[in-house]
Amino acid sequence: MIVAAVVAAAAQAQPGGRTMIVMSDLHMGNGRDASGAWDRHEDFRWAAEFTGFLKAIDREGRSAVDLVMGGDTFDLLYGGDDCGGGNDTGCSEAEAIRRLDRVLTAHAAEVAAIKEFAQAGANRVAFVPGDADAALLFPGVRRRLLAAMAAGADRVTLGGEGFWLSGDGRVLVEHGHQVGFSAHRFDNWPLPFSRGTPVRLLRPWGEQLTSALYRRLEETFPIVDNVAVLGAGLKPALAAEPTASTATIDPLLLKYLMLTTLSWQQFRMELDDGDVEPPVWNIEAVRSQRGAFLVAGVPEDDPIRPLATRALADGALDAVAQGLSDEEIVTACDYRAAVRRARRRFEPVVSQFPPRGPAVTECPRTTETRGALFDYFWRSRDAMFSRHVDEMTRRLPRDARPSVFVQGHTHLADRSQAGANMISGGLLKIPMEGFSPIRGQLTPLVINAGAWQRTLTPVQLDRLLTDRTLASLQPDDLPACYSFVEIPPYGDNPAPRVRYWRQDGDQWAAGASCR
Amino acid sequence: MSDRAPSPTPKVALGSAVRVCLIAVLALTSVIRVSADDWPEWRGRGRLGVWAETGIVDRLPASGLRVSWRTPVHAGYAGPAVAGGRVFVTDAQPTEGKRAHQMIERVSALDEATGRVLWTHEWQANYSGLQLVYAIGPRATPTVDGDRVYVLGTMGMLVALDVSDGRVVWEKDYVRDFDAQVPTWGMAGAPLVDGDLLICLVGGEPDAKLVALDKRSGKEIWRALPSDSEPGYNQPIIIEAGGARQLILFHPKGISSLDPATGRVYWEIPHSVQMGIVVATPIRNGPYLFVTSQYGGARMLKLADDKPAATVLWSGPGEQDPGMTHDTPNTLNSVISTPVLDGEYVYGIDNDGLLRCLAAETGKEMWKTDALLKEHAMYGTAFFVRNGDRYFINNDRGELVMAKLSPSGFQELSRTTLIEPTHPYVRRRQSPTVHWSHAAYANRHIVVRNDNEIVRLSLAAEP
Repeated sequence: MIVAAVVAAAAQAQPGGRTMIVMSDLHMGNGRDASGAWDRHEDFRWAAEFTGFLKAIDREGRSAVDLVMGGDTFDLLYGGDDCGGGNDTGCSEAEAIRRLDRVLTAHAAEVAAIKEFAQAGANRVAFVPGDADAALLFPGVRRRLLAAMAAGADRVTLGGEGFWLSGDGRVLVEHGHQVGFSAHRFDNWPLPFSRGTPVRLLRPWGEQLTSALYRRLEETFPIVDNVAVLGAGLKPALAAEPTASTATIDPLLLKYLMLTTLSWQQFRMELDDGDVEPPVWNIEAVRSQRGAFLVAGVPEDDPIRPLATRALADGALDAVAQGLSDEEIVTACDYRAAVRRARRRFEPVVSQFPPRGPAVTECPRTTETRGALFDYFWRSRDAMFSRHVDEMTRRLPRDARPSVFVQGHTHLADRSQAGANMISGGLLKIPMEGFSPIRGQLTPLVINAGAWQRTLTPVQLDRLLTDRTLASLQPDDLPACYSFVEIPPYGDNPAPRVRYWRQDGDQWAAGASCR
Repeated sequence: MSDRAPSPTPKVALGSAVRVCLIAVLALTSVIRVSADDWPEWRGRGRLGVWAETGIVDRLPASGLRVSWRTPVHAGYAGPAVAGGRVFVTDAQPTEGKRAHQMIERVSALDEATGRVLWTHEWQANYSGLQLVYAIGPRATPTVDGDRVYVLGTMGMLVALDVSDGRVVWEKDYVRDFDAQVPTWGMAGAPLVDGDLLICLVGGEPDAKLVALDKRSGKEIWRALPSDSEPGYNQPIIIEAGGARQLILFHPKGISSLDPATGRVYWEIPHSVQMGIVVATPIRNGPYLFVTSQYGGARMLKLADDKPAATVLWSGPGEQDPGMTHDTPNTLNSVISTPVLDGEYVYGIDNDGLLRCLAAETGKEMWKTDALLKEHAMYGTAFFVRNGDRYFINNDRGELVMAKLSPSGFQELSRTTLIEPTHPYVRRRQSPTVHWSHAAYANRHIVVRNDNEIVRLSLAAEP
């Protein structure tokens, strides 16, 4: 006992001597309804697993753990009609407090578990706001959360700056919705509020676009938001709707799916470490395709392809296509090239789409880069994450130099590249966990914790749909496997890794993959 | 039953005074060369993996074979070709002072008797995008046809050269001319001569996975099969079955049979293989046509005898199939090594380096053994060549093994060290390097290369 206390005290003094755990995107909602049945929109039904997990990390971390709740811990976007506001604004502070209270009550067991964890040894808990719980940035909502946790000063904190930084300044955790072309990005983060009275939470354009859609689809397809990467579940759901055979897709939704839900994580990294030149896309030729460009990036076996094709025939896509910036076009083209490569190679990717199926065509290249020598498609990912990392670093105190950036938001955890590099003979200068947006370097390291809830990939969904219908699937039918990022105690350099809390027989344990 | 090999058609221009005499001599030498001695392409004439020569040793001396000559070369996987008294070998080296992926590829013609370099031809190649560890040099064995040798570089440069002096007759760039995309492990399909055609595994667009060129001019004659997958790493072969000559290609989306004269598809068996890794050459015996891959598993096809058609006789699971891993039971999942179809049995190296025997009709495993490679080694590889009732097998440990294969077991007759394994490899337990180059067997010799040298060693029986 005394030894444990000494260890804990020493660990608290040295941030690198503590275990860090980042879990993201739990999306605790309204819980059960009056009849005791789960609300159809409730994604977090796993109190027992959650409690067991906290006990395990407390035990293994010898009660010297920094537990960072990396955003979207609570789903404060959906609460019925209890918020005023309009299309571009949501809850006021008072309304958000009521929503939080309801969620905390619905998840009393989880709240109790967090409190117990925070009170043990030298543990600490930090909440980072995400897009679904951005309301935590209201001072009153923040106070209410911390009061509910009631674990003593400094044991539970909330990152009012929109992120959490480790005591030694080496690890930064944020939710991830502010990166790149995210449609869930707030313009004035971490002050996502309207002017005027009452002050209201702003609603990013992706939220405005998809909120009602998710609510409607989730009534019929409860797992529509459990498909990783975020947004991917919309496709099979839209295609399964009774009107799908004649419907068209909202052009903005097509853009949303094309640009803001890109998941570069799905592609293997083994084949190059950046020592390959990227192709130069012919932007002029792309623009001349007008709306057809948007459809060309959708594989023929994609559930929304017919909807997109009909929208194109209606002439509905041209305006959105013409509004794309050059950078958005390059990003879409890089992504298409990656999809094409994966499909032509039948690569067993982490799987945002099956590695089989018809390959999409490439965007037109400029003549000087035609050919096969330019197989590099990380450019857009690297550009957007480099920019973001730079922005974040500039906001930090001068002595803070994070080398690890942990995120969530996409619901898809980064897969380890250790096996891939073994195949490559260990020659690649790439991180084995996460990725670096600077090719050929191991830092800064960006790593995605995925979602600590039940998710599945489109490939896994396809397998389930061989003998089930989409409408019949409940979150309980999904794999009981919850991803998180662990950073063991370190000396000079934090070394994060994605782990999974999963059931193995009757036992629960953390492992390197889902079973 | 074996397939008919394409006949070479040497062109000779002669004065009338000596024509009859010389024609007789040339005909004689031609007959000698054609009958057994040369090894003009991948797996020898007809791509059959058969060496018909006699007067060969019955035992490999443990102390090593007698060396005829050694000649330095640079790196590469491509086995040599031997024809007309010349040895053709390709290699590559990084451009001095440049980035590692800027390479100079080269084909060399050596005097078969002495190893002296007769001529070389070089070209630049940018290995960008290849998987780094294996980006060392060319893969495809040169194809010799009469007075021409056809050479394919790793990045899709195809050159037709005059065998006498290395003069470029014509050249094609798969990337530039056919809009091909080089696959992860480079272009590996050695061009196949069939009559006046040179049939090439290109992977071009549109619909140019296979392209037939006029072998004299390089002009495109036909193209076939969509490039909706990578081209793969296989070698097209020609068989006769169902009353037709059939061009067989095992590619990442299946097995295709085409009319070699027109490119018209006779039949296709869908069979997607993960990562496009289809390497082992299809083998045929009687009604059986067998393909295998690590991820896709095995497919034994039965060829129709009344028309060009085929059906799947049996399938073995591959590593990509649900529930399968590297270690789960399967029939024969060869990664690189081309198996053997001998009588009613298949013999081949599996994905763990074990030699297996299967019943061709059912896929039933008769036996398996680690006696050939002496270790369980992922991607274990050996190259089988039949000579009479026995096999010469150069394995990835750099050894040459003489053995008999039968449904009752593997009978090793003798073994000797052949060449130092130098190819990079990362998963081998016992050796950090391997030897992944097919040997050539010609004129009672074996010719084999690694990344440092090419060696000719005698296999002639002592008089």
